Amino acid sequence: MFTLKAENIKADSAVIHFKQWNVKINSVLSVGSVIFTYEYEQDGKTKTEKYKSTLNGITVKEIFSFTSGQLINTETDLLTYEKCTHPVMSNDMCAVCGEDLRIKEIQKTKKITPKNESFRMVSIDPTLKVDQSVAHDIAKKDLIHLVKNRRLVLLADLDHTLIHTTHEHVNPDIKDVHHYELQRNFWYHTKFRPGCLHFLQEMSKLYELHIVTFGERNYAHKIASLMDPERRFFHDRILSRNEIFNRISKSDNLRSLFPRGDLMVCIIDDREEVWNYARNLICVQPYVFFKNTGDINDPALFNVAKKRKIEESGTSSEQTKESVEKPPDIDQNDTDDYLVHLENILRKVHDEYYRIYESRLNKHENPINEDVEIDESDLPDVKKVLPLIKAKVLENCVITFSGVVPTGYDLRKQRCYIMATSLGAQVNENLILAEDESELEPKDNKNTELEYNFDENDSRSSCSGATRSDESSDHQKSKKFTTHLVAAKYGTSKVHDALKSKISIKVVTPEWLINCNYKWIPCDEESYKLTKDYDYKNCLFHHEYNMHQKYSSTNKNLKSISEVQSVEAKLKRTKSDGQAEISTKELINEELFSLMDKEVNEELSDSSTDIEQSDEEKSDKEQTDTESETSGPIDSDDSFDDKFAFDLERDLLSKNSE
Amino acid sequence: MFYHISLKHEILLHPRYFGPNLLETVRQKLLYEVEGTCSGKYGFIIAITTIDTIGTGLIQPGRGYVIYPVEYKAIVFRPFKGEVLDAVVSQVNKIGLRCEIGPLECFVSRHCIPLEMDFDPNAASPCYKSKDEESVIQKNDEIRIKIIGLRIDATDIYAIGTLRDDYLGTIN
Repeated sequence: MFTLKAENIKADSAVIHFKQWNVKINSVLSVGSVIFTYEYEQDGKTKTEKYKSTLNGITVKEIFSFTSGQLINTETDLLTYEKCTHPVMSNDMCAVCGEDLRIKEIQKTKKITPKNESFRMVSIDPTLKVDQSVAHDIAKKDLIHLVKNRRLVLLADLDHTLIHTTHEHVNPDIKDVHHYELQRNFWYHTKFRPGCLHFLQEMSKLYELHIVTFGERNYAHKIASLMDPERRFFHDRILSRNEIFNRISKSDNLRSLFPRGDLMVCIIDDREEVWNYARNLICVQPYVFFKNTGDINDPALFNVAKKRKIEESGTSSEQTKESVEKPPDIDQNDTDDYLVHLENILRKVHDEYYRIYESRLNKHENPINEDVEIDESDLPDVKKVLPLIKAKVLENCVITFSGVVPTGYDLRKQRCYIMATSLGAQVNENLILAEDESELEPKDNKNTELEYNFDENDSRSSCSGATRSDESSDHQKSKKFTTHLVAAKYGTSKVHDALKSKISIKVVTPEWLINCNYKWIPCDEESYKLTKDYDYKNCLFHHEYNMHQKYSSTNKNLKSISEVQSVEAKLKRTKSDGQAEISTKELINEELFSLMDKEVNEELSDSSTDIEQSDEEKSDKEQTDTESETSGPIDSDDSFDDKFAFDLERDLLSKNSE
Repeated sequence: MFYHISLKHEILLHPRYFGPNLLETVRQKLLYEVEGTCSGKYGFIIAITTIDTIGTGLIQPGRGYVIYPVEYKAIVFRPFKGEVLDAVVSQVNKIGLRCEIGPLECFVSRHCIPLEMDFDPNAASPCYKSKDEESVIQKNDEIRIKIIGLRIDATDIYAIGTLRDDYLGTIN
């Protein structure tokens, strides 16, 4: 606590009368803000003068009482104050009082942070940090602004979601491909997903668009300027690898961008793992235009890509020759229409979100004025709205898998099971066939929109109420019989049974389920009919199973099985208690998601150690190799590359720690 | 604040330049190396006005390079705390605005923008404006700021400014 004296009174006259205070307790003063006014006499006239602050960022704590007209001089104590808390920092300088915090902190040899947690709220400018109170203040304003404009936030990925980029040589005749050079002699060729601009145009009416990409900063900005030259859609809301905290995950930045939580945030990305399988994520069908090119900004391949870049730049002349000889395989007719589906999904999410919000508003006895402050507890959570909408897609389906999950694996842990249940389908382990058509007739195939009753008292249970549980119990009866058989091979007994059965059961390939999952509509079964020459090896599930086999051990399987069992037990308990407050489906999903998260984390840590190990092994092998060929020269390039990778990693680490 | 001062610099020249245009090369190299740089002591060196003396070159033993001590006069821009300057707004966001005073970058936080001006994310380009929309600050506007904080590194200067004082704000 410090005391402020009236040191800077300008008037020559010795007789100065206090007039009135212009500050209150807890008000923050900056240079030039008026503290009080005073009067003095000069040449026989009474003049009024303002006394202004010479300090910045101080908070008034106590004001000494003066009566109007009281005499004051330069020795008079005016008020007590506290110094600036440095709530906003730009480039390690306090942006409120202008103090250079680096000098001070170096003396203390401490890390430079504002007093509490710091938030980097402006994605484009990572040097700008604000403390918690300011961050919440700003975030609240953002929220109100969003609600007033009836918009949500959409975080959009670039590569494979809205665009596809390649470094390889591209035929310059192809339409709608943008060619540009970010580094010397290093060309990028970008194809926008069909309908991309229309999509952005439409979505910018409903959503506040952000770019979140693992691409480098200049790449992200280049793409943004290509897509949106007038900066109408994105403004400065571009988050690139240079600003992302974590090398492999994008979700760490969410808290910094949205300090009040991600209630209104919706994400589109083709990779679920970088968002930790977040529930407000819509997994997008990856867009591949240049057939031979994967994700050039794949976080897992970051180091490899860097290495390759150097190699390529060294041998660029050879490379171009090569690629001229065999131009990559490109389908000129780009038939991808996914953005139309995505637009529909996002529209649904938006409409549903505000429908729920408005129905909640109407529940209030006094209709709320738009100008009155918005109550945050009224806002639904996208993380809850989104799964509910998704669960309507295959509502009336009962799915049985055949040949998709290897024997010995727990079905409930598999991706396909989670996918099917998240789409609202019921999964039966065995094929259950109806005797005749009449049994198949669903009783309540009303196709009406499900009413979501959001209980205000119980914010955790997003979907509750008697109507819902009754309906679902009715569903249980009609959903006993399998309607869809998702099969990976033609020859299995389940496929035979299904084809023989009197009642038509749709036998489809796993791609059907995957596409339903992408498009959020029940896809046409005919086009995904299982044929004899179907090759499961190209399927997403197969790849994942392979991945899983590599990294999971039997121990973990046992553990997760026991976890699933505990979930089941919990379910039974809730049922027996007769508390149908929380819909069972929701609970299953919730538990499964948490399970999945756990698994993913474990897998990640496992894989990283695996990689390290394999690296070690490799280096060992190399050593032995060189030892065996004693006359052979030591590969100097490799060591250089390794060193480079090491340097890069260190840079990244230091950046992260910053 | 701008100053016209005399400064010294040493030019290291490769032997291939030894020839009829030697001194011209020294002049060009001086302009190339010095103009547009920033030193913590003198600030940004904006432009060299005159080259007073080019001293006698000293050949580096064992290398063949030659060092010329040069004395020149230059206009330098050295900002000070409390100085009032005109700036061009380069970026506006919800935390504040960034502006450029020639080579000097300056940030003005929301706390230092007049209370009556509020951030408006709705506009085509984000801006700060007062309720009656009388004064608006957006990108590429010219504003008058007062510097409240400076960090002077060896090769860069960074400033924090305020708009909360008399006669600060947009320049009409």
